[in-house]
Amino acid sequence: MSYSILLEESIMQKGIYATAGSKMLANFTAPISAAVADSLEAGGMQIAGRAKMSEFGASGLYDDSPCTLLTEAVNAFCSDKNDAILCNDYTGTIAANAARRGLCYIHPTYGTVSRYGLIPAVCSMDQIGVLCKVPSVGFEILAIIAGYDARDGAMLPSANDGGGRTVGFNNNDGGDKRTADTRRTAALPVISVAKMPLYAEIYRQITQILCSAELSGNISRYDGIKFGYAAKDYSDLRELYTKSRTEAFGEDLKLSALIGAMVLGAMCYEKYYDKAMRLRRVIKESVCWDGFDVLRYIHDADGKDAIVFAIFSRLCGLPSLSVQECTYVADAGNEHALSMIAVADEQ
Amino acid sequence: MNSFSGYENIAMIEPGDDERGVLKARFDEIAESFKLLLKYDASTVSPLVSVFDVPCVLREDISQKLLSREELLSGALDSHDGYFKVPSTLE
Amino acid sequence: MKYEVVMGLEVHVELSTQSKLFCSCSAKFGAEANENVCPACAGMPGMPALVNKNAVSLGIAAGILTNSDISEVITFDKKNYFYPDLPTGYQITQWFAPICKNGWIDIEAVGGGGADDTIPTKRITLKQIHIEEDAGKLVHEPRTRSTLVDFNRTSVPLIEIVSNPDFNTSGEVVAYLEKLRLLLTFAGVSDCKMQEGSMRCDINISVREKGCKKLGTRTEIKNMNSLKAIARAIEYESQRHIDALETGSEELVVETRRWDDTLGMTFAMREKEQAEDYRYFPNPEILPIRIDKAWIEDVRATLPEPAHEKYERLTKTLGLPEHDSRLISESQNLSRIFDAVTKIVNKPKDVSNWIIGELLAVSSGAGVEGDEIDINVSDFAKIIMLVDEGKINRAVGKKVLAQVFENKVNPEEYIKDNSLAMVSDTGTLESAIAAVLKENDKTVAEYKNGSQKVFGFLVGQIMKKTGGKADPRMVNELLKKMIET
Repeated sequence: MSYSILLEESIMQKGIYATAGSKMLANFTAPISAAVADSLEAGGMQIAGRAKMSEFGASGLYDDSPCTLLTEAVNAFCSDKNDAILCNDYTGTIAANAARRGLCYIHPTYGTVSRYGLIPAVCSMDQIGVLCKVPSVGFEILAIIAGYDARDGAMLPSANDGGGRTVGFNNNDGGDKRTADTRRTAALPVISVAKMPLYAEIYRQITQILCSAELSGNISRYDGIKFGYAAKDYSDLRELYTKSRTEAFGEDLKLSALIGAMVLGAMCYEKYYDKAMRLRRVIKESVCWDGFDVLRYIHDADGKDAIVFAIFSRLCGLPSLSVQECTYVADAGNEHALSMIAVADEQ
Repeated sequence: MNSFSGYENIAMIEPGDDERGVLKARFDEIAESFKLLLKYDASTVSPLVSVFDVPCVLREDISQKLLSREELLSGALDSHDGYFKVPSTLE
Repeated sequence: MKYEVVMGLEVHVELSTQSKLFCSCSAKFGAEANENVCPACAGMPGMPALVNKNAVSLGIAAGILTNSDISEVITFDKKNYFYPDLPTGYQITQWFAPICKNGWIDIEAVGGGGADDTIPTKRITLKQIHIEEDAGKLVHEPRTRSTLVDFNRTSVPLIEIVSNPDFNTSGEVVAYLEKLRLLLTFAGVSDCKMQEGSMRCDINISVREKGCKKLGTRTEIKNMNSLKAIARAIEYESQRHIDALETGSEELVVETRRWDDTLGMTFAMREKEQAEDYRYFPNPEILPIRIDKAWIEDVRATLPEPAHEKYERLTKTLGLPEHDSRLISESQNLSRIFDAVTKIVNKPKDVSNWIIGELLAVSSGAGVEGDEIDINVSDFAKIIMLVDEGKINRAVGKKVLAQVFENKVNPEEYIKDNSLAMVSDTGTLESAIAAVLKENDKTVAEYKNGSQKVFGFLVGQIMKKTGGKADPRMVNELLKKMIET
């Protein structure tokens, strides 16, 4: 089955502009093609074009509402004929937005989709996921783009393709634990978690600290010298740097550079950046599977907390599926469980 | 050093007055909210740098050419004789 | 001396890898500007950093050679600052978990031998060794008020060897650098060529009154491109410190100074407004690397016998003369030839004589340095054996060696084709001797009158008559006998 797929502007195709949604890269011609682009073509998929995105995907990091670019892209997708958009949704904003719009977002396990050819934002969270209209289609596409690539040094070894593990579930209203047999044949309700994930009340701060630090480190290469936007008027080297960056970066990017400078500075490193990294470990280690594969977080009425659950999965490197009513989070490598839920839901 | 203008210096950005005002307000609000973290104790665990404890993939020491010099310099602001050219680093 | 000079060194050494530290570009020196550059080392986004395994192995080798503790797990971190030779705006280095700690290198202490004739050594202790990437090269064009940037050197792997402040004299610093160079070139870790920039040294120096525990104000000296320049810079800067302390003529401040070899002075480098905060943080793109005992042992197995150990072995165990042992042990190439040939011909003294006496003479005649000699070791061994067995004499052996060296001939074939076999037949030799004696009756008369030294001349004539092939020992014996009669 050949699907029609758009690539977000942060995913490179050799010889074509890869803008990452930024004026800084408006005329940057990609020198290489992303692994996912090659995989799609090899898998018989059609790359139908490129999708707009927020600047380096930072929308939602410092504010609640998605930016115009992102909204436009999603609107366009809703009414066009394409099947999916590949995105790097490290902030969880696309997932949350998708859920509210009745779309679906699949975020893979960290380290299962190659980042070769992806313009990096936050390396410890970057993963290319699938925004789609029909979840089972999204999972088919994910299966094509996922896979070990030696050009990305932080990938999981390929053993974990979700094979072999049974989908566990438990419907928490009544405490009816099903047996192994019924699990395999029956429909698949999953654990519904009454509580928020641990420390959800400071997810905003933790992600702002971690993402600003890493993003500021990943945008320091943009200086007007080698490629990309350069200021027209400058009197010396320093002005070339500052004017190029000031003129080309939007507000969110500037904020990330400033906050990154603060949290990584000698005065604040320990109390903010180091602390945020430790809290991230506490959050990750707090996840308890208790014999089941999927956690189900039900969204509140206006879908405002969808982003919290999305962030939770990114902090832990876990795969997640965001749909209108809820976010499903599975254990590392268990996308299979999520795809079975998607298929069951569609039936 | 530990001031908004110090951070602007480090980040190599110099917004105009209006934008600076907006940025500083947002920055201050966000920086203030970070103080919430001080209430949490995470001293019993180590910092998490990468989510999974998997071995680093190492590369064999073989050299390979990927780009021609032309392709490399094609987007440059300025170049001369195969070099990138920038305003002088000497003062 | 009222004052004590205290110094610590930071030595940057380029590792001899084929490719760069985090990408597959060639790491070779000397290419045209920006020929060895890819999107990654030019600062373009999209290519994740991939660690060169051999660079880590060479870092381990450096650790073994310096008796360091090698870390079980190493990580890489980002050091952030803006400068045109740093295309990504950060240098990937090791701030939190360097590969080696607490090593040491012994150097010969300056100042005379010990009571038991051993040369006292001084131990220079190392704080750490870490792996990091190099930056690009800048070429200044004052005429056009611009700077040209070449990224060939960006991301070439370096190790930085940081010593503790254990040095007190420029002699010690030079001895240390020479020892370091010897160790590292021997093991193939680096070619340590200061003139090409593959070994660079920065010195932290301070001066205090002898006996004082507190260290004086520290300055850092950079930009010394040779050992001689380093010695000169140290002499100058330590004197500048002493003068300042004695006369108060200038105030010493903590700063970095540039050595100018032409003027023979250091100059303060532009003072930055504030100390730079590099905002080090762990690089999440590069996962931790585990160094297990097996990896360390694999590297250890590839290391050649260190120069000073070889010297000990050649002099003490094999009884070779000091001069010859020094020449062989300090050249990786000659060591290699010595080891290979003695494996075939187990006569170390002979082999050493042949290398020092004959091979070096042949090669220097052809303008080739010891380190560049390329000789077939089995052919070399063959020649030594043939002389040993009396099949050819030593003078012929040297000729054949020259042919093997220059024209790569097969020694036995060459000897056969040119009839160079040693003449030891008594009859033939006696005829030749008789003829020479007859032709040189005046010289014979001089000998009989007591002039011993003309004997050598007569031997020479006899060798000539036999085309240089006579057995010299037999010639000596027979001539002695025959001249008396």
